[in-house]
Amino acid sequence: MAYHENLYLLVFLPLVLIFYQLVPARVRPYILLAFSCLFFLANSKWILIPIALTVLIWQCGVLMERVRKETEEKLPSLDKAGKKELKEKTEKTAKRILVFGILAILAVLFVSQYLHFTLENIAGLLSLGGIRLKIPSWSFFPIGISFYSLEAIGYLVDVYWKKIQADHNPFRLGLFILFFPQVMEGPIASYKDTAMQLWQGESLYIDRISSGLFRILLGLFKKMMVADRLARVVTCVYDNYNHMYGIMVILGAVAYTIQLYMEFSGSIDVVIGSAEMLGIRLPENFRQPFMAQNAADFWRRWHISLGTWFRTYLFYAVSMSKSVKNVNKKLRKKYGKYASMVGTSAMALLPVWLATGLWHGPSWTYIFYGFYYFAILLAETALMPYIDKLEERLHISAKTPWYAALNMMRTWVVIFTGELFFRAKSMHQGLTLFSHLFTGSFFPKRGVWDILTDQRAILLEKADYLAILFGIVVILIIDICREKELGLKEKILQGPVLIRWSVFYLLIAAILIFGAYGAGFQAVELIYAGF
Amino acid sequence: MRYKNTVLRIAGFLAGLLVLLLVLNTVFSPKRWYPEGYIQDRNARTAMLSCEEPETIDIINVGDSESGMDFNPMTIWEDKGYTALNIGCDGLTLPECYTVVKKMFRTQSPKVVLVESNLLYRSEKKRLAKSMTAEFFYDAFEGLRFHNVWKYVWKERGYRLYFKGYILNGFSNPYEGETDYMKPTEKAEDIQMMPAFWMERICSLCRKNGAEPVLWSAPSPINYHMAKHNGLQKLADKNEIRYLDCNLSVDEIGLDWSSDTLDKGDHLNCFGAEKTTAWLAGRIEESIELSDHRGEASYAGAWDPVLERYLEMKDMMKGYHAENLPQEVMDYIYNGGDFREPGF
Repeated sequence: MAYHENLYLLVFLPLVLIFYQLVPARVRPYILLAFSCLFFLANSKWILIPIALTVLIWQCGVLMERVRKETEEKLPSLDKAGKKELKEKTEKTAKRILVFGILAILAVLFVSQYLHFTLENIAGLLSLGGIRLKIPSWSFFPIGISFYSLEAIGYLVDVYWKKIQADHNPFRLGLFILFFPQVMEGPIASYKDTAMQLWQGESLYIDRISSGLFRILLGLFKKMMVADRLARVVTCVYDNYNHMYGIMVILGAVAYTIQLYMEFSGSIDVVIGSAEMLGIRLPENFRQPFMAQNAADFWRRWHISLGTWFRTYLFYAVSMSKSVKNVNKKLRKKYGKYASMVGTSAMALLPVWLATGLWHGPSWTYIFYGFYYFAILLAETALMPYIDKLEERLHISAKTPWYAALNMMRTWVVIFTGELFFRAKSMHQGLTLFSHLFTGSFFPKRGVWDILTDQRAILLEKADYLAILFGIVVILIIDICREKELGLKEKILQGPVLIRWSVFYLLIAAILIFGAYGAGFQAVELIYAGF
Repeated sequence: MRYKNTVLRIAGFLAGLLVLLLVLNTVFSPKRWYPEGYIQDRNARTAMLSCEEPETIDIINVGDSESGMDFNPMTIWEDKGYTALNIGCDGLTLPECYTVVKKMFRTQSPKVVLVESNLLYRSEKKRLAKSMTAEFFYDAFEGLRFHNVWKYVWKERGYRLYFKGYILNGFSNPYEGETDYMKPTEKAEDIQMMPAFWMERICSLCRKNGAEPVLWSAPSPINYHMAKHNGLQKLADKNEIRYLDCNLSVDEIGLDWSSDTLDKGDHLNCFGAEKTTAWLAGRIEESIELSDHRGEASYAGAWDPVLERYLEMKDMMKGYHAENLPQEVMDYIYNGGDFREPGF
């Protein structure tokens, strides 16, 4: 039961809303928790995993707090040296609890996601030496584990950093981990921002329901109008990767990038809309990513919650670590400010992008994807002073329209190239496709349009491409309005009933008439639900 | 007051939504688009059902591709004069079957409803759940099932042929495996709870409307074995319905696996389907009395030209392999040629 499916939209979500509103406020969080468990079970049998993680972080948090509280009580009776010693000892204990908690979470994540991959690679290496290792195949994939593992780690670190107090209520923590709209695809929320909202059990309000519904409709529009159709072009290019023309590779990469955006941001719209109906604000995950001026800017706009998590819990932690600070000092002393800036950035960026790549799953293409962005971002950091100087000499700035457009298009090339490998099933497939850009025929003998509308290859008709174009134009207009902060959604939602309802009905009609569903269409599974 | 306002606003919005759905339902009605050649996809058979003259059908057949390829209404009309429709098509689910049968009873009063059994073993829980909610929606607003007709503004219309739901295919690709695939066993591959539930619903719907539900298994060494037969027999006994398994009567039917199968024993071609359907019709007659409509003026116009065309096309296909087809046959396969069913 994914977020775009009628079972979720027409049965599950309305049932949640009805039950939620009917019961007293203090019972509402439990209703949400019960439905969240039901949602998880409808998608995966491994519900014990998030429950075990909840119990783990609950106990680790409580333990850390207890240790610190005991220390606080003992402190007044100690002298200065004793206080210092006890504090250090306490923090060491707290750190041990934190490390234990994180390692336990990572161990579960490793077994479910990476163990098979690791064994496969070890077997591959051993086979070079003539040793054959038989790897058993097993299926252990609790849905959404990559998402709630990060939320659980974030909670523990926040307790350790004393940003939040440990939660003594395991049900509240459980709801934070399992909350049904976000358990499958995120956004990765922090405990501070969502847990208390979830537990308030506020009544439903018509304004929130209509705002949430608008968001859900927009998400469905993106997925059903554009993403599910483009999936066919993408599948055709990647399934026939050995015989692709250069132009088809470019079209495949562009199509996949748009598909991924429409699909992922569309399902996040459904997620945020569902939560909004219940009066819960989840963090945004996308902010017009294709209007980014460079790769760093792109990652501040694309999968924002993942970027924020890695920035908060990995990048800053590494940047502020003693070893990085020492290296920074040495580099500055020996080679100057510029070298230290580049060196420190490299040291902090490398683990972040290795982790980002690995987070997406056990595949060399994802690891490559991480390293690709590491290289791009490091290059951007290294070139930044020179670009600044050049801009100054040419009297241009990031706000100069033609220059901004040029930067945007340059960023598109970076994005499309990255996604070309991201979608590939193997490095061989990715590299083969990439090589077709420079070797063999670039254009097919018959027209590109002929291939795209070949009923036996791609199964899309001319009318489908028009629907795709229409969908992209609508979303582009909405994204431009958002970028310019015109408050389009607010204007619609706060406008006269006639206009508001007309927009809703138009969206529903567009989805029902032009949406890719029914005979001949298989709804494409959510891509990020597999991570 | 505030609560009252909220309820009124929600009710108002839902009323508007209902109007929108009713408008779309009318706009995309299959009666409007199917006769004009706008519906050619998997839904064409369901659309065809809407366009049949009311109270003229004796037998209806539902199921997945096994049923779609192996049951030939033309044979029944030619040999017995009974009117049959084949609504079976690839991937048809049990909730879809139920909706189709329910819809059929609104305009037709068939005496027999045949349910091919292969779909009972292809009913994963998730797929059934998805289909169930979709069908609930389509049952209320059937037109939305045909929402794709707008695409034909940019596409040539065609009349892909459904000979009363049967797509003619005369090619053969022999089955070379074991022919005694129904080896006796006590084992039974039981039907799961959800498919059994839907089968029960279909049966009670048929009985309520005076039709006899009959479970049957198309001959297919790829899809059937004795354990499945035993499981299906148990289901039939539980529902107190007849179960006709063609796999136990391959010799009696006269099937030749070297020439009667389309794809190595998975489905039958038209020659195999004719033999199977003739055998099925004989078994049906044993317990149900049906009238021969041949020669009746009200039926002749709608059925005889279709049969005539069917026989013509069958002759044309005989002896050809899929890779070596004359243009006329290709036109037929991809566009339905220039033939339109009578009345359309």
